[in-house]
Amino acid sequence: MIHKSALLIHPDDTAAIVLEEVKKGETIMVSRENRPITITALDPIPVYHKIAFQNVGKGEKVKKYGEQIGVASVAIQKGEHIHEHNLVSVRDNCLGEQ
Amino acid sequence: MRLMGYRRADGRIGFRNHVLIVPTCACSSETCRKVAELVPACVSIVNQNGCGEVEQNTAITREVTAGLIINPNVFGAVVIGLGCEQNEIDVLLEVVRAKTGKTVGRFVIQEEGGTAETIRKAALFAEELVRQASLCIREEVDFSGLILGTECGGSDTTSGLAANPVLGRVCDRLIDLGGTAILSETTEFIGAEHLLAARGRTKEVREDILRIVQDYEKHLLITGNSLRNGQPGPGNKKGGITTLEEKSLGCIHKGGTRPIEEVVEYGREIRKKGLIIMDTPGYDIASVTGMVAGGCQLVVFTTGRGTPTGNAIAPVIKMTANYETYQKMGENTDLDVSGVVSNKETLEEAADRVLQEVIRVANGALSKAEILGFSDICMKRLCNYI
Repeated sequence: MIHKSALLIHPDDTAAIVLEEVKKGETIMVSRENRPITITALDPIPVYHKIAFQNVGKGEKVKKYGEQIGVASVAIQKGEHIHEHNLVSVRDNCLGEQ
Repeated sequence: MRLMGYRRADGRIGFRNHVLIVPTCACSSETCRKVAELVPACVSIVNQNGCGEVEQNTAITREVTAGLIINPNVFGAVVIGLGCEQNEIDVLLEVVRAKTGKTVGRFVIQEEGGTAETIRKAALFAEELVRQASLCIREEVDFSGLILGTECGGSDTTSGLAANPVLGRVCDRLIDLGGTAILSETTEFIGAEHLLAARGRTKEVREDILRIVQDYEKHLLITGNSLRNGQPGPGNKKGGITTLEEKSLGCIHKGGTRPIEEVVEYGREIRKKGLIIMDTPGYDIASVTGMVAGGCQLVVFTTGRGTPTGNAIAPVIKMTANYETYQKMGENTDLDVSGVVSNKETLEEAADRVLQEVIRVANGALSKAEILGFSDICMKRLCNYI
């Protein structure tokens, strides 16, 4: 069976980036520290978008580049598409604006 | 692979051996260009500043022109001034003398009585410098003398996805070998500055990182511009970027993961080892110029859409993860890491290849921009000219 591929930029990341368009139900192969791991896509994922590599609870950090890129606004299951519908920015800027 | 450099009398290590013809100001730039035409083994730069500017801008012009002369990729220089400019030649030369004993010629158009006489004398001086430079021989050096600048420009989705992560791994390896890497482009930190600051080695470094971002935002707000509003834009979101932190981290990641040792001002000489942040604009040519003025001998520049830019005295190695860009603009692009995006190569394998290329270029292999003789220079400014 041919898997779609995704890239995990940092081993601690909770989001992997799909390298091709993924249909719901397809399996994706991601390499983490040289070990291949498969995920089943629970949503259709456009190319270069994020797929959840692990479950993330509501309010928990989503990590990419080894850093927090935001928090889950709702619980996210492994295999779901991560984007504006379930990921929000942590509003924290130098000028103290809200 | 061994690293081979020029060990300068002032202790710095050079990876090129240029004779640089430098104008103190815009008025002497054309004269410098004519000298370099007569002595093609030299490089000249255009200096659009050095006069008609506020004092704070003159300070930047002076620091950058001095920094370019001091950079160990330069064997010797010929400085040409007009005579009445704010970037006074003798003040500039004092700044240079305090840091290095390399040979620097001094010619002033108003003293010589016109451009023809200045060009003649400066060219004769440059010819002798070129002859002396040709006697220099490389020796084996360790990584502690290497400072690598990083830059991203003409970015697209492949930049944050692959090219910058590859460059980040190269920086990590270089630093672990004892070298130094510079992360710049302060405007690109906006949105993730708190995450970057957390990696500062000391409280002072952490505060400096936040301060340079805050100051830059305030500076731009004076003209009514915010870099935060509306980011990420619709194009970014379509390409998969959800939050501003994510967008900024995509840029920041080109500097790697090591702790940040120091934050330096634009063009200021870099003395510490490890990962350094320099406060530069995101504007590519100005950013590269600042880092080179601070002493970096090589730059790796990631690009999604492609760019031909180089630098007068430092190789600028262009790297893309966009397969089409490498096919269309291969003439201007040194490295293709699109294999990471098409799953033919891991980030680690690509980083290994890139580090080998960095060493080859350091040792003398020419980058595409050098083959084309592109000597782009630009200096950051605080405000309009007077």
